Amino acid sequence: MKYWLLPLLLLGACSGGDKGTTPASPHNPTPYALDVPAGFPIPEIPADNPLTIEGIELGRLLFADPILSVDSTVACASCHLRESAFADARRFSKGVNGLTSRNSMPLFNLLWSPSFFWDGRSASLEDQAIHPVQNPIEMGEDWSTVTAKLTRHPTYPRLFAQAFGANKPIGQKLAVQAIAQFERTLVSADTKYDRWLAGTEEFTPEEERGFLLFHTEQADCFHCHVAPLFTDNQFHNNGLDLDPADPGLARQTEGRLDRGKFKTPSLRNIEYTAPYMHDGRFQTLQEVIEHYNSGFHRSNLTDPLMLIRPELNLNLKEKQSLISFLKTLSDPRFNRP
Amino acid sequence: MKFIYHGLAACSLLLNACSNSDSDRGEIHVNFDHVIAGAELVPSEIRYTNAAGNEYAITRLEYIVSDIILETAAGKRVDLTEVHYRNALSNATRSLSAHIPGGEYSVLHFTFGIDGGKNETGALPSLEHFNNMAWPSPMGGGYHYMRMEGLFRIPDGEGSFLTHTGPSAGADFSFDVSLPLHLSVNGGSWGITVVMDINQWYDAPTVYDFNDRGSIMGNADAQFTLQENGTAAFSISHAGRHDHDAHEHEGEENHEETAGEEQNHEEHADD
Repeated sequence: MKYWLLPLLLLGACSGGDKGTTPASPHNPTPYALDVPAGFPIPEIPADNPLTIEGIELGRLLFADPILSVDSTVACASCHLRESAFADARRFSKGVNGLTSRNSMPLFNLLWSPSFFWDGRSASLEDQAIHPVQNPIEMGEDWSTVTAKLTRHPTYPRLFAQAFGANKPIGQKLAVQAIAQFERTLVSADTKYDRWLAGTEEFTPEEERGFLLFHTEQADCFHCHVAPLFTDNQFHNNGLDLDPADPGLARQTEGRLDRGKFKTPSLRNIEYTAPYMHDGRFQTLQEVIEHYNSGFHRSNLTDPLMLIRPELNLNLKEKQSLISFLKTLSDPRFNRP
Repeated sequence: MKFIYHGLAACSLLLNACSNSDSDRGEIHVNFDHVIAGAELVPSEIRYTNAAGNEYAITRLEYIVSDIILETAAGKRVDLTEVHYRNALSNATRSLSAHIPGGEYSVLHFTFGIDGGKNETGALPSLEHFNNMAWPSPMGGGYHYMRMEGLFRIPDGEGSFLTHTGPSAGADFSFDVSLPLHLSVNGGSWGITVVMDINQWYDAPTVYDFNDRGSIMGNADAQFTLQENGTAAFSISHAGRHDHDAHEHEGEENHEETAGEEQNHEEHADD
């Protein structure tokens, strides 16, 4: 037996393995049986916030509800759109008070991320969810007002009680727990690449060429975009700017050499998440590949993995092959409108 | 061979179970530390020099050691653990611990990297630190033994070096290290500190020049040189009573020398 099946079986045993079970009594929420894709690491779920059907449903509603913003115009889902793998097709997102300064990150496979935001400043989904609400540009609200709005709402008090019990006070803690539960269910691994790995579907010759370029030192994508998640969850300066205007990771560490380092994004669903980079400067995958091929800046901040050679010298056919391979990482069922 | 590493936890349990009744049983902590020119490694801007005259800085040092065994003076071998991941920038990975029978121990053995017969894709549990060491199947499959990376001075600024050791084209460049020691265990807590001398990888018997060695994952010649040089990179600096002070920083991260106090950051609108 594969070792990673064990926790699933245990989870399944707890819940009867039935995702569609009718919600139980308010104080006995229904455990949610998570499907962990083959080969993915065992996820770590905080012991104080287990996945439940009621909690996830509450989180799904809160995620889509502009009640979290000061003027009821902006929800999480306003800038994290399902049809963009929960990213935003706009370079910068529009909040209650102007535009954000970074491109909205896509949301999937967050169970396997140890940090959140482009600069990694949150260590949990629960902590991450606190910030956009009170950010003056994004939602501009304070959590005490959110609490008051949720408490006097016609349906939320019942939903909070079903998810967490009637004796727990409605407020920031439970709201971000519910949102985090919903986000943990955003698992995406139903792609041609995964079916190829399982031996149930073949690559085209062009996709195969792209796979080989990606996973050798010729294009050398694999050192940072590590399978199966296609990210190493680490921070790199990929030579976007000689003198980075956005400090990135250095805002947390104050390390001189951390300037311009940003979290490696997953390449799963990359077809759906344009524009690219932390500031959305590239509109197309062609532009992204050309950046790595010949367009990056060289300095003592640039990652050694890129500084190792002057350029990749990929020809047009190789660049097209890489893009064909990248599109095998698309999960159209996850990305439904 | 996958079952070998997946059986890790079960084996440890068995080991523990076998000798619970053994009153002279001890606890052993094996630390892995790193020095350059006799001083503790500090990830920083360029400050080191190797035999080729490269002035360099280390920005990443991660590696895998496996089949870690203590051998008694009578030749009995005690398995400590099957595989250990070390990231020089994360003190949480500094030590491995095990319980061992009492006795006189005279050698510590380990394999740097993973023996070729076991080093195949998927052999290690799907954990982020192991996955990040993957050696892709088009390049032979399995795992890197080591990812040591950094910058070095070139005439017009900084170049980089990637000392990535591993199974180039499926060949086995892992190597066994055996370090003599004297450790007399009779209950209690014991410590062994293994030190990697980083310059040894680049200095002898073959001088390794960063100007001539770029990406080396497919370069069997570079792998052979590093295998030869690396065999002498390890020594033991301490074997005796467990130094509890050595653990006082457990769980902390080594930040580069300019790291400062965490600040209260204002909210930024960015994601």
